[in-house]
Amino acid sequence: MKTRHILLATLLIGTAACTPAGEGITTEPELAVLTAPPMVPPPVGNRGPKHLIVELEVIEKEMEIADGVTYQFWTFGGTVPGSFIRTRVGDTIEFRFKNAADSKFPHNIDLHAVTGPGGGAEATFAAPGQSKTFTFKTLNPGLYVYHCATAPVGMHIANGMYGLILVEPEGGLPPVDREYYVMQGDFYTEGEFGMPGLQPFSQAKAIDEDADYVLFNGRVGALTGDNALTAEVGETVRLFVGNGGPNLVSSFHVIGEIFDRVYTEGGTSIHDNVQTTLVPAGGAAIVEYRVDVPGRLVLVDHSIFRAFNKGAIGIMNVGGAADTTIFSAAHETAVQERVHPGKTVYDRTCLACHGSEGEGIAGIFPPVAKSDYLNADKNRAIDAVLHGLSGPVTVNGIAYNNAMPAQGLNDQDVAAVLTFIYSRWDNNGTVVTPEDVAARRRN
Amino acid sequence: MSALILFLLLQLDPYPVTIRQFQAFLRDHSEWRRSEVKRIWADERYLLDWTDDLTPPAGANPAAPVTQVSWFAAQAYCEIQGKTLPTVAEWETAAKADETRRDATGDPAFTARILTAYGRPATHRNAVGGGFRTVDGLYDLHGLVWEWTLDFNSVAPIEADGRFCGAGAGGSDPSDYARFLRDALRGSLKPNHSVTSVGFRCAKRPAS
Ligand code: HEC
Ligand SMILES: [Cu+2]
Repeated sequence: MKTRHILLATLLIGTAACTPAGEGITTEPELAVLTAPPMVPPPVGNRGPKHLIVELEVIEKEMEIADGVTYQFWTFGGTVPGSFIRTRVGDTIEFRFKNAADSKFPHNIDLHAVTGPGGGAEATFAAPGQSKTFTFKTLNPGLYVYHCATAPVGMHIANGMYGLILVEPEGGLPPVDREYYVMQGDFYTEGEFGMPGLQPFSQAKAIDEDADYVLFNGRVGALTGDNALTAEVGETVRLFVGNGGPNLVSSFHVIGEIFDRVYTEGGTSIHDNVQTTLVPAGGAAIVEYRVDVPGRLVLVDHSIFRAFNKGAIGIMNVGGAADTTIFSAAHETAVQERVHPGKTVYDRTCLACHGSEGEGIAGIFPPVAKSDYLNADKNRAIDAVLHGLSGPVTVNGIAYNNAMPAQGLNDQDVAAVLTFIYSRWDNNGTVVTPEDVAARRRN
Repeated sequence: MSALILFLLLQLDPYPVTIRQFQAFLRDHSEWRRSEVKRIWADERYLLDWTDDLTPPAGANPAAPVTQVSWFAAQAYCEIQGKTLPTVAEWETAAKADETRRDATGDPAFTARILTAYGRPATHRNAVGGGFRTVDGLYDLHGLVWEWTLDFNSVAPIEADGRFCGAGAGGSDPSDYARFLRDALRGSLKPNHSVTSVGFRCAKRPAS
C-alpha cells in the first residue's frame, strides 16, 4: 500500500498544466485544414492572425515502402511525411496531439516553429491512447520541420515521424499557380533495397548511416508514374521541400529547371537563380520556378546514387505548347519516342557490365546478346535481375563464376529492361510483363 | 546483496497474466470491474474493449495477455496472490537473458531480434507462451506486451529534447535501443493509464 501512495502523489503533481491564451485575436477558434503530401492547404492570403486548432494523431501502420516491400511506419496523421500544417505569423495555435489507442509506443512532437521548451516535446509526450494539448504563438515566418522527439529519437525519425509546418508572413507568400509538398527521408531496413516482404528497421545500419532507401514522400514511386506532379507551361511552381533525415543532407535539384527563387533553409532571405539547394536533415527550403517548356522534370537528390539506386527520384510532367526559342527538342523527342523504355534502364543500370551491344566481357561478364542462358528461361532471367546471380553459370558454352548484384529496380523497370534485351541482339523476342516480375518477387 | 543474487531469489511468473486469469479475478473482486472501478485507480480506457464487466473482448483469445489494465489493478491482482509486481531492476535483469545466456545484451543480434519483435503490430492478441524461453524459464518478456513494473515511474524524466539522462535510464548502454524504448514507454505512463499494449506479470519475493 505504501508504494501506491507515493505513486499517487506523483500522479497529482504531474497533471498540472496551463497555457496562456493568445492576445489581440478576436475571431472564434477555427479548425486548421491539414493535407496529406504532396498537397498543401490553401494559402493564408490577407487574413489577420487567428486562433487555430490543429488536431494531429500519431498512427503506427504498415505501408508499402516499394513495390512488394512493406515497412512498419510511425506517422503523423497516417502519411510519411506527416500532414502539412499551414499558419500565419501571429496565429495562436492550440495543438491537440493524440497518440492512437492501438499504438505500441509513446510519441510526442517537437515543432521547429515553436518558441518554447522542446518545441512542445515535453508538453505532448503521450502514452498510447493518450491526448495532450498545448498552445503556442507563431512568432517567426518560415518553413519548419516538425518531428517526434521520443527516445530513441533517431529511431522515431527513421520510422517516418516528421513533416512540415509553414508560417506565412503578414499578407501571405506571393501567389503562385501550383504548390506541392515534397519531403525527403532516409530508411534503414534489415533487407537490402528492394528485398520483398515486411522489412524491419535496422538499428546497426541507421547508426552507420548506411541507408537502404532515400525517398521523397516515404515510398519508392511516391512521385513517379501516376503519382507524378503536374504543371502547365507558363505557370509558376512552388515546392515546399523538407528533409526529415534522420541522417542524410539532401542536394535537392530538379533536372531540367533552374530555381528562380530559393528561400534558403526555409527562412526569409531569397537566393535567385539556384541550380541545387542544400536541405539539411531537420531543415527545409522553399523553391520556386516558372516552367517555360513542356516535358518531364526530374526531382532528385543530386547526391546521385541516392536517386538512381535508393529511390530519391520524382517526376513533374509539364504540359503545354513548346517554345523552340527556349528549348528545341524536336529532334530528340522524335528519337525518344522510338527508343524502347527499357533502353534507358539498360543504359543506366546494365550497360556498365554487359556492354552497349550486350556483348559482355569475356570471362567476367557474360553476354546478354544472343544468350542461350537468357533465351532458355525468362523466370531465371527475372530472378537474376531481382535477386542477383552468383556462382557457376554457362552462357553460350563459356563458364562464368562471378557475381551480379541485385539490381534494385521496380517491377516496371525490370520488365522493360528484359523485354528490351529480348527484342535486341538476336534474342528470341520474349515479352516480360510487370506481372511476371511481381510473381517472381513473391517467390 | 548483489542485484543478481536478489534476482535469483525472486520468482517471476513464467508468463504474463492472461485474460482468463484476470476474468477470474474480476469475478471475485467486483471493485476492479470496469463499471465499478474508481477513476483515480484506472482511467476511462480500463478494459475498454471488454464486452461487459466480466466478458472479454469479442474474439479475444482467453490465453492472450490481459491488457488495458492500470498499474493499480495490476498490483492489486498480484497482492491478492501474495505476490507483487517486479521492480524495473528485477524485470530488466530477467529481460537480458536469451535461451542460453543470462546476459545476452552485449550481442547486437540480440538487440536486433528484440527490436524486430517490438516492431510487429497488435501482438497483444497472441496467446502467452509463444515467445522464446529464457535460461530462467520465463516466456514472452519481449514482443508480446509491455509489462508494468512496481517502480516504473522511477525512470528519469524526459529531457527537453526527448532524450533520457543516461544515468536515470538505469545506466543503460546508448546502443541498447530496446531498453530505450521500454524506458520511454515507462516514462510516458501514469499509474491509472490502461493501455492496449501494456500487460503485466507478478513476482514472488522470498519472505524477509
Ligand atoms: C556489376 C556488373 C553487372 C551489372 C550492373 C549487371 N550484371 Fe547481369 N551479370 C553480371 C555477372 C557477373 C553475371 C554472371 C553471374 C555469375 O557468374 O554467376 C551476370 C549475369 C546476367 C544474366 C544471366 C546470364 C546471361 O548473360 O544471360 C542476365 C540475364 C543478366 N545478367 C542481366 C542483367 C541485366 C538485365 C542487368 C541490368 C538490369 C544486369 N544484368 C546488370 C554482372 C552484372
Ligand atoms: Cu515517435
